[in-house]
This record gives sequence, C-alpha cells and structure tokens, in this order.
Amino acid sequence: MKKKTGFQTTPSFFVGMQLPKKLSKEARRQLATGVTPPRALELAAKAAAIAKKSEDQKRLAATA
Amino acid sequence: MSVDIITVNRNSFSTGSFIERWKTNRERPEELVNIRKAASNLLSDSLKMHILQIDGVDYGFVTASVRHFRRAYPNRFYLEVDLLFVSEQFRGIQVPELDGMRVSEYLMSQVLINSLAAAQFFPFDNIVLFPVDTKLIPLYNNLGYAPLAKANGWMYLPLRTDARNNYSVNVS
Repeated sequence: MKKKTGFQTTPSFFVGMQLPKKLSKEARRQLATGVTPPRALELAAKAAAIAKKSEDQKRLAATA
Repeated sequence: MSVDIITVNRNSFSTGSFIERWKTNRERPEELVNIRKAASNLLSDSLKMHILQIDGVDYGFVTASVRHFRRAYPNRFYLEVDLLFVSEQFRGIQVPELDGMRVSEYLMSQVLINSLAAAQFFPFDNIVLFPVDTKLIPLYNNLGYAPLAKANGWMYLPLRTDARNNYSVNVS
C-alpha cells in the first residue's frame, strides 16, 4: 500500500484535537473555579458596543 | 459602515470557493491545511463557523464547537475554539471600523459574548483552545486565556463572572 505523505501530524497542523483525557488535579481546579478575567469582559463590552452601533446605523439607513 | 458576524450555512457551503476568499501566508502552508480541515468539520456538522465582514469584505473567521469532558467531568461539556483565522492583509492592524480593535480581538470577543450567554443556560463553564503556534500565546493571553496546567499547551478561559464554584450548586 502506498504510504500517505504530505500531511504532518504535529498539533500545529491539525485542527480539532481534543483536551487530554486525563487532566491534572491543578487543571481540574482551574476549570472548576476560574473566573472570567476583567480584560476579557472589557473587550467583550467593546465588541458588543461596536456591533450595536453597526445595527443602529443599519436601522437608520433602512428607515431613511 | 456595516460590521457583521455571519454564521456560515453548511447547506450552501462550498470548500473551494470558501478557500478563495482568504489570503493565507504562503510561507506557512499549514494555514491552508487548517482552513480545509475546518471546512471539512463544518460540512460534517461538528462545528459552527462565523465570518467577520466589514462593509461586505471578509476579514477573518472563527470556528467553535462543543466538546465533552469525558473522564474529568463526565456530565459536563466545554466550548472549544477550533480555528481562528485572519486574512493576511488584516493581521495585526487596528481596524478603524472596529474602533481600533484587531480582527482577532473582535472575533474572539464575539465568541466570549455568545459563550457567556449560552453558559447561563447550558452545562459548560469554559472555553478552551490550542494555539497553532507558540507565537500566538501572547495574543491569547491578552484576550484573557491562561495555560491549563500540564495539558500539553492547551489554554482556557472561564465563563464565570463571579467566584462561586458552580460545580457545587444544586438546581432543584
């Protein structure tokens, strides 16, 4: 059988890998108790405002 | 000025024409491999794909899926960002139509907005991702992601906005 070539199997070339089946105690603690960092929430609020502004402008354009 | 996040309809999706919409770094052929894989996963319905368009121009896209924890928490799930892609000509620039945000920041913020809303209703509390290149780790750090301990490079972002341990909350 001809060997398949040209596709690298290292993680950086592959989309869709899953988390390790067995997570460390520290990883489980991180996932169970972590809180969304303020920086992430600030960016989300900014993005939400941009999306709203775009929607408002579209609505205005539609009614003009 | 129109800033739109468009969810791709897999029923009318064509891999070939989709790939032509994006400018990849020719020195990194793996970018094309990853886009093809994301397209394949979209067609097999294992992820959703969301494109950022500004005034009808494609800037980038992000894909998201729901995964099962398996051993760690058998009855719980997490969200995963499978691929974040920004067309090469828009990488690293602060986009005026996004009030100076970068395309990656805007796309990932949209992921967070939708994930926070969904996490109020469904049993998942984290987004995880695997940076395709270690050079991207600072970008994800800036977005609030932190390394998951001893998890081979995976990063995570909690979807809890207060310090309660939600795994111990009983709903009757």
